[in-house]
Amino acid sequence: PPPKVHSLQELRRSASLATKVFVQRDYSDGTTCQFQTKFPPELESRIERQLFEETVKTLNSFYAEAEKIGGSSYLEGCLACATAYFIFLCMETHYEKVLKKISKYIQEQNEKIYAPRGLLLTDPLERGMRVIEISIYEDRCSSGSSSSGSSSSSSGGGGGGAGGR
Amino acid sequence: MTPGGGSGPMKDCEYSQISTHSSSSPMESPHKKKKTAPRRKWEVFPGRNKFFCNGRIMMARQTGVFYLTLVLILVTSGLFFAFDCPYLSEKITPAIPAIGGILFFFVMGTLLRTSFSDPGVLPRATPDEAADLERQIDIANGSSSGGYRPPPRTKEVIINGQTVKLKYCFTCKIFRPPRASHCSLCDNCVERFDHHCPWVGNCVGKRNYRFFYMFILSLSFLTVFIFAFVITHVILRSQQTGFLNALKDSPARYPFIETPFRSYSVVCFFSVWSIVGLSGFHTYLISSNQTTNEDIKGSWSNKRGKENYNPYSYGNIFTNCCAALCGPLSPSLIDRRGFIQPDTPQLAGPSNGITMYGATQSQSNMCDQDQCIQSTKFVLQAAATPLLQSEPSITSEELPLPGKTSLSGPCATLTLGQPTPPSSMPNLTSDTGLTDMIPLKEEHEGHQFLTPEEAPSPPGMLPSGSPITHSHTMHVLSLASQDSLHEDSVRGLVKLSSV
Repeated sequence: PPPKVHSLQELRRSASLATKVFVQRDYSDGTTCQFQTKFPPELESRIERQLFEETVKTLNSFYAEAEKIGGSSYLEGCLACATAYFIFLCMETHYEKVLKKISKYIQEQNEKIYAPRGLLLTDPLERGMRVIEISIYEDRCSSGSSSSGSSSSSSGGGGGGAGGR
Repeated sequence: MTPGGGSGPMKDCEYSQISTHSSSSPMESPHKKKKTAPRRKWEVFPGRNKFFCNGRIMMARQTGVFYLTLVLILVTSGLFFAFDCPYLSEKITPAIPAIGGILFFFVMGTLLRTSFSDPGVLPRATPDEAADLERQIDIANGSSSGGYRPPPRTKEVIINGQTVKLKYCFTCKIFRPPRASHCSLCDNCVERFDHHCPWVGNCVGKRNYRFFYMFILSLSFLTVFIFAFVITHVILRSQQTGFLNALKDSPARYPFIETPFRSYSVVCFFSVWSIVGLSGFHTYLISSNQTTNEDIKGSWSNKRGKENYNPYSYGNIFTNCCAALCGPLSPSLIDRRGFIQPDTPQLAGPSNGITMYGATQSQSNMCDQDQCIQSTKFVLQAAATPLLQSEPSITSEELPLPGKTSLSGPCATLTLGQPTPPSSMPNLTSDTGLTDMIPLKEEHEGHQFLTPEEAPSPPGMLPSGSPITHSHTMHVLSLASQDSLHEDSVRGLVKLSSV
């Protein structure tokens, strides 16, 4: 059955968390913050591949912008050095500014695209920039089983096993 | 003694090891208390760090040497300003104390920044992440049953054409990003880990490397400056009275020469050589875009193979320097001053040595104590071998794993506690394999890289942790006899399980 359309607030109230998918970092370009654009199989039925890829690509471009080494970052670095880095007490760094943009973008994406499909993106900053956590929600009324796919069956079984012990 | 139990209990234990749903129940009661007084995240930070000013300042646990650094700098500079500057500003130019003052201000500013800031600590994996990773690793390994150890947990990535191995950190439950390393003194994974510096009382990593470099650079200038002008002062004075007389005469007549000069010359002489040497070394590291860790391990040296090169280097010295010093400053990932959300499941409690994670304490009585003792003996035996041989070059991950997977059979709950000591061993050897390298690096003998082997007290070779059980078991291992090993480890473990 097609999932109901949810608003972001409604999602938390009426749906229950089924499982989480983690989009890992892509280190092929070095230590810069980039995420893998590989489409997770668990999202196959929930969201169009193209929308997901676009989200990840936009996030990657934001992070690239934050970490860009160029004229303005040099200026900031030199100015900070000249003031023995005391300037960081009052000024916001370029990176922090971009992070605010990212957080707004994620919020917007959640509201427009992901929540209506029963999904929720978590800002990677809250996960130590390691993963993009995508929570998959199930309608409480629609499904009796808590596990939505084969990938979550082991964690469901593990939970049951621990309870049994 | 077979490590592998039946496949039934092994499966259950295996999954209950990572299952975090049950872990939230014992945590809920402390959470209820938290709701009344909202606590900040630094208060429950799992690493071994000290926090001040309500989470604004973050340092390593042992800060004694940092205070020594502060005292040395303050006293030497203070004496300089008090005794030499009045004379020199009068005789030569008042620019001398001015420049000295600026240098001093810069040194103090960068020192405090280095010591108090977050070096780039990676927060530990949330329970869901850890579970997901474990699952993926099991799938990748083909979930080999029977208790034989699976291959060590590594992932390979290709960065700029060079193959880099990412290691799995057992403490933080993450695959470490490239260039990250786990500091056993602070018990944290740190991004772009350079080294743990006891003189600044903190790790040096991605976020504070530039402050550290500026600190040692400006300190070099300051010490050379002070040294030069103290000598100038003595020479000028001696031109009036005669050099040897100036020194020979009693301190009462020339207090401003004799006593300060002596104290300066000792401190400054050693400082100048070691600090200037260290600055030179780090300048080399920056220009080749390497960390101290990588340089000492020889990760990118040509000796490893003709094809080996540094994939992070930008190719030219200027870009490398600019990237390290003027690049963007990433924010702290650990959010020390944030409030703990009551609904998010908290990570397992602070791991110090052998203590079990909070969740497992409730589950420990579920475990068969006999099997626990048996299997933990196995772990201690496995861990004992490198200790007895005391070879620093033993490679890491292979060693604790036999113990770990054998434990997954009979006793899963104890594994959460147990792997921490053996897994901190690989961190000792692989992350800072300095013991065999220190004699080679003579230019910075003044600056001790605090290897985990040196820092904690010798009887407990594993960093911190419950000293009683540790020193007890370590004592036993040094006896190197099977019977006493079994006996005493059992005793030690009975103490453990009673915790």
